[in-house]
Amino acid sequence: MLKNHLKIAWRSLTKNKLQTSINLLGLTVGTVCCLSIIVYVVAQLGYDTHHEDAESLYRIRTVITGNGNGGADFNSATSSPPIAFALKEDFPEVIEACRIVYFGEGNDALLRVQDSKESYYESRGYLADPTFFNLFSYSFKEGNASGALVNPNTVVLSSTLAKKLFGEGQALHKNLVLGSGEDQLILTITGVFEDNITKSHLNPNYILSMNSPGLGEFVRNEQNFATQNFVHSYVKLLPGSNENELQQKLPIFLQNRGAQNLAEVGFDKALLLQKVKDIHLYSKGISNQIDTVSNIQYLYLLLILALFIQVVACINFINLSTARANKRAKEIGVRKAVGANRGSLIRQFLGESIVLSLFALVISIPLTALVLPFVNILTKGNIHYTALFDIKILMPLLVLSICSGLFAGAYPALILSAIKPVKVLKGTINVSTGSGNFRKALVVFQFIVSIALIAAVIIVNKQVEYSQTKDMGFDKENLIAIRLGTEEAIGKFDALRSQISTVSGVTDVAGSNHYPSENIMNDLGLHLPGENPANQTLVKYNGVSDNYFKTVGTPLLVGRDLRANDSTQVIVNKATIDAFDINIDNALTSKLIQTYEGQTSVYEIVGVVADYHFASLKESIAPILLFNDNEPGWLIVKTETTDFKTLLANLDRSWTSINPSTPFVYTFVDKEVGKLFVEEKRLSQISIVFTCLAILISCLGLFGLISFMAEQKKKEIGIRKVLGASVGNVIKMLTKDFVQLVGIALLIATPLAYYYMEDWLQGFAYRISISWWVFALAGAITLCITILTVCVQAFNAATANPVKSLRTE
Amino acid sequence: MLLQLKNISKWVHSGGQKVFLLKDINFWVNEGDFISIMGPSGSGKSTLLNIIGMLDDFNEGEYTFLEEKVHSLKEKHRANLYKQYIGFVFQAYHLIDELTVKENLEMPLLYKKHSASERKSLVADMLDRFNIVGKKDLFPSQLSGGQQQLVGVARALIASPKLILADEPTGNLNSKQGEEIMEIFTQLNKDGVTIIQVTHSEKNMAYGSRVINLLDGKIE
Repeated sequence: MLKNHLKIAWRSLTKNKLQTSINLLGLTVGTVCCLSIIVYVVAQLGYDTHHEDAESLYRIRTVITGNGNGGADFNSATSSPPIAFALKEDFPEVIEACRIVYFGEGNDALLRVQDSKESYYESRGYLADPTFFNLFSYSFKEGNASGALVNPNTVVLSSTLAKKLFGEGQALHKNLVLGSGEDQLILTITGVFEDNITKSHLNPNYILSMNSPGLGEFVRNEQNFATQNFVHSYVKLLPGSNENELQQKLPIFLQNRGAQNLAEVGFDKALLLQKVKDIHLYSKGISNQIDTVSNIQYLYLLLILALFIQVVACINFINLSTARANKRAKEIGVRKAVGANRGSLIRQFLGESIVLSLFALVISIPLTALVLPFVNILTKGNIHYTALFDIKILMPLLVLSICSGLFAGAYPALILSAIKPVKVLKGTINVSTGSGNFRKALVVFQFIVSIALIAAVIIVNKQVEYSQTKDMGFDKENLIAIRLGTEEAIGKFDALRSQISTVSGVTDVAGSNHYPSENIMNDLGLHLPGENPANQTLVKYNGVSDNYFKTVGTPLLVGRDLRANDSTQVIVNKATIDAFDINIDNALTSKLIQTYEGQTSVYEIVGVVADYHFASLKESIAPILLFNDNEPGWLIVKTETTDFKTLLANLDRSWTSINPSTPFVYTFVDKEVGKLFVEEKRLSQISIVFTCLAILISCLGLFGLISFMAEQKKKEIGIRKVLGASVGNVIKMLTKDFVQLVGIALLIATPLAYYYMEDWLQGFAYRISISWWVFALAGAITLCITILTVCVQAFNAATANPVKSLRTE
Repeated sequence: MLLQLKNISKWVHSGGQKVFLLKDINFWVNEGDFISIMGPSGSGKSTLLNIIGMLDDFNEGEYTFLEEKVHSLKEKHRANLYKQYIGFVFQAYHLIDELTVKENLEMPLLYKKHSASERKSLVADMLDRFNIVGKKDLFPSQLSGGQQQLVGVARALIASPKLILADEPTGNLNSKQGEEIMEIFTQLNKDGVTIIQVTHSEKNMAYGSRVINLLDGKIE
């Protein structure tokens, strides 16, 4: 029986070549989409599960509310330095603790082998407690984990870094120099770990012992439980202990330990446990992550999009199968007359659709292997094709494939198996199969998907374009930032500055601790004179040299530029005086007070600068205070040239003449600004791909439907033409219905797309408003594509010789 | 007695009016009969045949087939009944285009759950009996109309039914092919198979032993 069914399935598939190719192509594209997405999603799962005690590892994160942090809550992956080990002291179920200080991007420290002249800015440096390897499992290539970070000035390197510094030679017990000048540390290498684990929220390049002087010492001695929330704290719980119980005890813990600290700063602080395994996927809205994290909702979105593609493909199958039911009516009638019952027919038709979808599955595996490099570009992933043969991927795929087969086959099977043999066996009556309305509803669904996706693509692209062309409040073009990474370079700031000003093409030079658009995390709590210090507002700060605002092209609204000898004189942005309710006319006579641990500092405002975007456009402009810093971290160079090659060569020469031992490292500010929109750009690319695929598959289905309709209406068309209908009339007759369906779909898609895209736009402080023409355009595009698709077949039908079609009767 | 129809009526509603397709049909069929149903177009011949074949329902009356009350049987039970005892021959042959001659013959056996070896021998028997062994791997479209109908009759016979229902079996054939088919029916009837045919042709009627004349849904 099965053999017979398979045979019939195969022969009927090969007989209707157009229908089969459309279905197969659609299902294959759908399956390739789903497979690519499943591979990507699986690659995003299982982060940090390789640690031996992965189940009992937790991160302590911090949420601060109730202060003037620009109105937004401080929701951070970090916490105050003493918290981790205090937890270990206070709670028996906390059996180990560890703190990590991450030297963020842009704070790369200069590193060199002690007896070498080559130095490198190395990123991803961690400062960690000696307990680091008790929590996190790493395999060691040289040395071993236990005790590696106990002694001061010890460091362990990743195998990649060790190879860079020492080639194939041994790294263990060699010395490194970290930093420069007074803060320089001589480090001994106590281990080299394998960094082939990519599925971790930790990605250290090197790890420095917390017991070292400098920042390590600061962290060890810091006893404030409220402030200095820049440390990543981790704890290991006793296996089997209840995380919720511990979570509930944390507020009391914080009160016991830090009530006074909290009262001084006047904000509410909560500590939250987060499972280390969950960090990669469940960290939405939590800032100060170590490495980039993903977002489970983003994965859901991708899965939903892939499923939509698959559903659209299934709809093609449903529509074409029911539309062509007439073709099979005879077979069904005969089968019933010789004794088939409905169940066996349903099984037969479901079998056919499942065979087709399994066939699509088989084709889609090598196809996905082919498109994987493209998927990797879109998702910034690094997935090898061997990942496809993982049972974790093949099983869901098989299930998906069978489900698609069932989903696509169910309705046609019910319709086809219900055909009454009496009607068809007489051989003259056309059975009407399935309600045409159901078919129409399905086509409308396909149009909805297409229109909504087109609208989404337009909106995402408009937003990206808007963000990129929005006036940042500074002139990002032709702006070069040069890293002053060493004491040597910082100490020679003035000399460097005057030397570089003489390079031809350079118009202005200034210094700043952060180049424009670089994330500024430093802030201080300020209040107005005479106000309660607990009533403070957080204000970001940045140290700049004089001439900074002219260099970056941000105008001063009132007052004067900073001077080299200004120590308590500061410039604030417009957002700051707004936050403190200072009128701009009184700004120059106003002062701001910082009260910290009993000491007060007074800042006199000498100028107000126009608001500019020093952070991503996702955030609104926060208050910022700028003070004079004669030893900044970056040189900001404004240029006017088209020949950057020569300019950079000249800059390099000037640099090396003054700073022979500090590498010349620079970046273009506009490129850095562009990086702020990388996520959105990727989203826009991905949505374009999905949209094209959805439209392609829908068009295939339409093409199949219209071909069928033209065939079915051959006689009607013939009669109409004999009676004088023109080609245009006939095309109109065939396309009219589809145009109506596009209209209905537009009505349904518009509110849906509007709602979801408005929601997406809420994530941006500066966003476009969605205008009506987006939907009109999406509808128009869909309509054009539909008419084009339909017209090809309609034209063929309309121009056929009516005599032929009528003679066949 | 093979089957009996008592006061069978079938109607449809058209514009609020009952339109009778069949009205008050009474007749019985004994095993070994060869009955011809005659009548002009629209007189209800095919409807009657379909009701006898249990492919169609009726609105009123009683239908007894081998002591079973067909009108009160469940769908599944009814299907089993006709699957076992009735074979159909159609005017338009109704072979499945995607299957070869051999596979077309095999199909009814599949639905009766015969084993593979049984199917093989029964199909071989039939091919032999109708002299179509050489055509067994051809598709219907490769055969002439007469040959197709031969396969149609063979398919109806393969599960050894007691009753063959033939709806204008020679309607699409030329006279020579028609005669061949009717000869086969006569031979089958002699072997004990009951046959009911619907026909327009006086010549075909002559092969039968009894005639039922229908006019406007009533037996004359």
